[in-house]
Amino acid sequence: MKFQAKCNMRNQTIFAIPTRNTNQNTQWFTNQNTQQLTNRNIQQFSNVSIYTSITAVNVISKRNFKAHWVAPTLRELKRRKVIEDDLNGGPKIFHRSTFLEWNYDAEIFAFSNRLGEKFNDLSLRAALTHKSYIERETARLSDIGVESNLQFQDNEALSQKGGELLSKFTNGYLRAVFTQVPEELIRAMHDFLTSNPTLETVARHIGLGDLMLCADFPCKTETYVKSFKAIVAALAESSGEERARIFVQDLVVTQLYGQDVNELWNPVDPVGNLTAILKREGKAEPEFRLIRQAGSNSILGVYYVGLYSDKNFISEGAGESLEVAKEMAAREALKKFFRTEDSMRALPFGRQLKNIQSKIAQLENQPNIPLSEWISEKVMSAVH
Amino acid sequence: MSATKRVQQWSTFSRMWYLYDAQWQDPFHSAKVLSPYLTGQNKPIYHPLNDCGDHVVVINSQEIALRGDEWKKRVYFHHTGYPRGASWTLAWELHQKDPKMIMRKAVFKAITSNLVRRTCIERLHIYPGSEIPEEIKSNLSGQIRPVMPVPKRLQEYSKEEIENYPKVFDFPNDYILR
Repeated sequence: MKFQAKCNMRNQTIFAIPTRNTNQNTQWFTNQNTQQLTNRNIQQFSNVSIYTSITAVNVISKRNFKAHWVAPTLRELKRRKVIEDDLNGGPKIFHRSTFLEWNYDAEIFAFSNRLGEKFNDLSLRAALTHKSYIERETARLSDIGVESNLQFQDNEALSQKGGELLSKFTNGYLRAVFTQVPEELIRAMHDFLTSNPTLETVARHIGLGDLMLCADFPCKTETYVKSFKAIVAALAESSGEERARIFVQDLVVTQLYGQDVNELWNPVDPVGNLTAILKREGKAEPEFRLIRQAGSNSILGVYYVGLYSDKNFISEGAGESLEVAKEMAAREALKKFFRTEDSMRALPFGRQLKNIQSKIAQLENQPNIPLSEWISEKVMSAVH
Repeated sequence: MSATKRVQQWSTFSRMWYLYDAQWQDPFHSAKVLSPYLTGQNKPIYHPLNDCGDHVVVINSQEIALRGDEWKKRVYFHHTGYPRGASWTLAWELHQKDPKMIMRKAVFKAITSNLVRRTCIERLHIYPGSEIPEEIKSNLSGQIRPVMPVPKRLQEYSKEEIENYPKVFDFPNDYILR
């Protein structure tokens, strides 16, 4: 006889194990004590064949009724752990290589495939190896007493070259896309894109944190930045400058997306600069007129000032006082000239750059006009 | 925040100051028109907790026009809270005592009864005549169209307009009117 009954209470399943004298010695087992059926127990019923008659096995899941003290205990342990971690300056973090299934060769292979680029193995490994790591390893081995014939190459030279390439590629892109913009703004955008925080963000997000061989953990900003620059140089060596240029455009220059470029730089004296530009172009002096105002006597007053040149409207600016509104109007006018308004065209990336890659390469060494000489006739028409 | 964004924020949340001429207007209909401006419901940034209401300056509240016999029949109830403190004041009596009250009460009722109502009504400035103090006048930035068209009185027509007005018929010059 075999049957399974579902008890109403507590979702326990009661198994009846068949015995030779089925009528008399029916053993009733609940779920809880079937777990205690060790080999020793089963031998007691060795005259019983437990498995022969069963033709179907139902698996019934059990609801999780943990004891009343389990949750509070876990909560308390977590609270204490948080306090300990705070005292120690943060939770303990371990490098990925200390966990199981770490295969550095596989990781390197996956890295290059993840980026969709082909790297020379040696160049890539060199790009990811730091001088501090080599020094630490040689010191460690010499402590043990082993002769160190390490053939590691560090990424000093590569990172130097990579930094230059990075600079060059970003400048090329910026000058090709922001054709109307003075050189000062190009320089500000370039400085933002090649700054340590930006490059560290990019390096972290492509997974260099796990791949770098360095003595410091958690790795410092400079380490990340050095590795990333070395990667750029390694890519240029392996697949050519063209691919390295596209790599920099896709990963580094895209950090400019959504950033208001006028936050990075704007001239100190917008009114003066605007007057100078209009004078150079032979247009009339700028004239500021109050367009509208509200609440002049109150603390929430707002003024709208319009900028006119020879009765032609150029731009309008708002502000909490007349002076602020006037300056904003001048700034808006400059933004209009440089084509960096809030409504400017979105930056082109990827396939949109296919036709202007040569132009980008050409402009890498050709700076834009500085602000002191800016004049709209001199700047080229927009490329995209 | 960049300079542009700061200025954009400031101008978005600035308050407008509207002028409304209540000359010969129905105060209750006007109140229905004015209350969205006071609460800020005319703005896309409106939220009940945003406090984005504008100021409204009402002039000529002395010259409001109630419908039918409301001047005689409409009654304003007030209770001081003390025993025998109930009072019933007719509209014309109230208007004599304070020519701003009818307008103010109408707008107060038109605004939804909530905790921001008191703040909104503070931004309503009523003047019985057409004189406005300089501080308020310099704040003004817009005007709200009157609810009812104000007819042009005969005295306001110039002599040329009267003479050139198209007529179907006129009495001959020597006709004597009884």
